[in-house]
Amino acid sequence: MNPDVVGIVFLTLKVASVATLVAAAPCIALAYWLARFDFVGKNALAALLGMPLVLPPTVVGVLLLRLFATDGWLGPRSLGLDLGVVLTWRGAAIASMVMSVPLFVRTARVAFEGVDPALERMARTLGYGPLEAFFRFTLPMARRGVVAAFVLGFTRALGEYGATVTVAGSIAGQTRTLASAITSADQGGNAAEARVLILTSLGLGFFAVWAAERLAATRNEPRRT
Amino acid sequence: MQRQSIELRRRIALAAFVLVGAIGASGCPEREPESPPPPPGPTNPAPGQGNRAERAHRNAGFNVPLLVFAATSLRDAMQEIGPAFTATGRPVVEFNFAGSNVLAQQLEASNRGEVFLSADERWVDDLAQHQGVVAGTKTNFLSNTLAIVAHPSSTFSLSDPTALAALGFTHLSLADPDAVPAGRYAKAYLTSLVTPRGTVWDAVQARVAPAADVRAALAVVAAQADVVGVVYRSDVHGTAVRTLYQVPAASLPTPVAYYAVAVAGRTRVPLASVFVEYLRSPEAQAAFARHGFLPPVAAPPAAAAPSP
Repeated sequence: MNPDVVGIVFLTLKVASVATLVAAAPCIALAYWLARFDFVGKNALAALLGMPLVLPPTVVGVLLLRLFATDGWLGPRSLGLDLGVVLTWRGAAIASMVMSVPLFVRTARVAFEGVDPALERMARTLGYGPLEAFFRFTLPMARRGVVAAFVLGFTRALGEYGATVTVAGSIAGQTRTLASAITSADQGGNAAEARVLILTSLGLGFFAVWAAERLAATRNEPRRT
Repeated sequence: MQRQSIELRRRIALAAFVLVGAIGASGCPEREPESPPPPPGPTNPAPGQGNRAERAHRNAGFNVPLLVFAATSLRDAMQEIGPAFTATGRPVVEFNFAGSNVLAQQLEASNRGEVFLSADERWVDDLAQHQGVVAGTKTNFLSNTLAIVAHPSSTFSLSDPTALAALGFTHLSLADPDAVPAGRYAKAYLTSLVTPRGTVWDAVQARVAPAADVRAALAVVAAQADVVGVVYRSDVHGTAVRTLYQVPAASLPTPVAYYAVAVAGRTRVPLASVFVEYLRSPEAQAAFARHGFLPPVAAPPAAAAPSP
């Protein structure tokens, strides 16, 4: 009954990292788009992106399960190839990604909205293209908010349970993340095992947030007081 | 710049508000006040008839709903039995559904929940040990059996359960065998099937995919054509999932027995006892049978459970 804590932590980090890294570029693009442009259905899109925050995670899990099911829209029978999502670590990564996208997009959007568009226009008059202006001015200026978005997304993915366990199950060594290992140990009455895993989870979560705080730390005095 | 800053603050405040609202809306059942307002319940039954238990419950908050903590697998059947109990001239029944393991912990941690319906005896005994149950109310009121199931379009077939390991499925979907009763029953059954090369459990163990509960295990089977699952017979009832093999109840090493008990230390113990008795009535048993359950296995008067 000795849990393979190292294996579980490694798998949890792998799932959360893949989820956050894959989501990062599209989320940043979406956040910027929502912050800067008005278009028909903008609020509807924002509301749709926020749904995983509102729905119970198991509902998100069941919807994903149906989507990737054998007869689902993204299942082997529709696509002609098996993406290998259900009951695999990829499924865990997709589920935790869907759960963390709203936090990521919302936080990054607020960060971009805090950057004065006049500065971007100024950069454009100095001869920078739109992409260059974004990467050289807007993104650096929104840096702290975007890092905060990363941290929120990553930590959400780290602790995600409901959607993940529904899509990926809780297979030891394959899809059993910290959250599902804790639940299994706790509900099964293995208090000692649960304690080890909970302490590990606390340590890991604290370290992740602490490291992000350090990365985002700026030498400058806070601008707005 | 000042306007920009105000605008930004407004937006941050709005985002925070939306976040808090969304988190609030997404779960966290709020604690109800200790004595909820009386619902538009049924009128009092005719006085004068009825036993001591009925008189006692009439004295103690008749219009307050009876709060029953019930195992998830009972959900569909209880939605029918709750109103039927009320129709006999008794209070409205409200349910809290979750895994038996979770319910036992909730009952031990709070002062709510008057009846506990558990999918196995272990959690009733756990409750008796930590919180206390009313002596003599522990009743086996139902039994169930397991079914080996597959996707509606799968081509698997199984006439002999010891041949399970030979089927070409990728995963065997079960409720978590370390935690959830349905998973423990499935593991015990597969371990009891012995072939010349060892138990069936040993042969399939590497392919076991534990799910959070028995309905989640069934959902995986309903989604994936190359997955086989072991779930309760009553869960398959009314779904499209195909039963490959229905395990005869007699061949289970430990019978799947549901237990009802009145929780000690609550104000309306007699009413809770009446509800527990009602579960064995012909009407309730007929409703359970309609949802795929089997009649109780044990003799009704259960041994008196320890009570503090």
